[in-house]
Parts: sequence; structure tokens; C-alpha cells
Amino acid sequence: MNLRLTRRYRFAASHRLHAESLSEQENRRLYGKCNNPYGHGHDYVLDVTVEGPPGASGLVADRAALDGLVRQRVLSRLDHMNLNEDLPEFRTTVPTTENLASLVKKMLLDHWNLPARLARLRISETDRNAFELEIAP
Amino acid sequence: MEGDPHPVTGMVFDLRELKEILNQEVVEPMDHRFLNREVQPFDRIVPTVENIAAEIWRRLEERIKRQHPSVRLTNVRLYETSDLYVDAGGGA
Repeated sequence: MNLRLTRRYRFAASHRLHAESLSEQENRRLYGKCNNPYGHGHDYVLDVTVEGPPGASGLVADRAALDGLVRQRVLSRLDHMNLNEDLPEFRTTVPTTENLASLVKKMLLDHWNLPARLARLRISETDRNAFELEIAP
Repeated sequence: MEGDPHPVTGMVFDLRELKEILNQEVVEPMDHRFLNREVQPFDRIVPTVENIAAEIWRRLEERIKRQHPSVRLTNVRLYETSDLYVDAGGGA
């Protein structure tokens, strides 16, 4: 049997969707109001899924260790931030939630220290938009 | 659960029967109980949400396999809070 534990976190951040390599006109056409010059905000919901055997403790992952890692490596860098201005990673790439999911994966895997495996990330931007990243074993 | 819809009823599984199975295997034995003392195997293993999800999986999987070999249980999701849940599945 396969066991996966999912923990939900929330953060608020702002972004502006604008690709430097495209013209002003192309950006407006592509991103619409998400290209407005001063950006806009989202209450993001991040679901982190880990996978592994529960062992003698009965826990797939120690909650405090998982929360600590996510807070330190992800939430402290993203919460109440302007993604375009505050994150060097988004100087050259557009902070779409697709790209944000990849960044969160990197933020976690660069410092992963839990016995369970990171299996999946899901970030929702609004109730109607969510992005999932399945992480291969 | 996963399976082909029944050619006559159009259902993968009869929801009334599913409700009965869930009531007998999970809700009746576990609801309003002290898991550590009153529900096996939690007298021997810790009743973490992981272990409870795994136990529910075992109870349902065994019974569904026995009674409905053409239908497959694929996942049991157990929420502990709205911000934490465990999926027990038959995967790798």
C-alpha cells in the first residue's frame, strides 16, 4: 500500500505577468489585465504532498519538521512579497503560477531533509485556477 | 473506486451499497469511539491519520475485492483537519 500525506499552507503575494522578450502590445494581448503595470495579488494555497512508509511512529512525515521546512524555505520568501521585485528568480522568468510551482519545488528539494519523498505540489491561485506538479520518484 | 459502468444501471458501484459498506466497516466501529482502546488494531499501533487511513483501506479493499471482483478500490482519502489529509492507495 501507498501512503501520501498532504498538508495545506497559505500565503499572499503579488505579481505582474509581463515577458521582457515581448512587445508592450504583445504582453497586453497575451496577459490581458494581468499585465497591468502595478500588478495584482492572490491568496495562494499550497498543498505539499509527501510519500513514504509510516514506520513505527505511524507518521509518513513529522508535521513539525515539514511545517518548519516549508515555512523557512518557501513561506518566508513568498508571503506578502511582490514576486517580480522581491525574488531574484523572477528577474528573468515571468512569475506565472506555473513557474511559481517549479520554484517552490526547487526551494524545497534544495534543502529537503525529511525521510519521506516529496511527491506532489499543488498551488491554487484562485478558486478556479490550480497548478499541479507531480514529482517523479 | 474504479470500474466500468454497469451496462444496465449505468453505475460503477451502487452508492446505496457503498454507503452500507462504509457504515459497517468504518462509521459504526469508529464513530464516537476512543480509537486507542475500542478499535482494533489501534490497541497495538498508534492511531495516526496515516494508520487510520491504511486500516480503512484494508477493510474496504478486502471486502470490495471479495464481493465485487470487477470493481477496484483506488484511493481512500482521510482528512484529519481541512489542512491535512492522507491518501491510502494501491499504487507502487
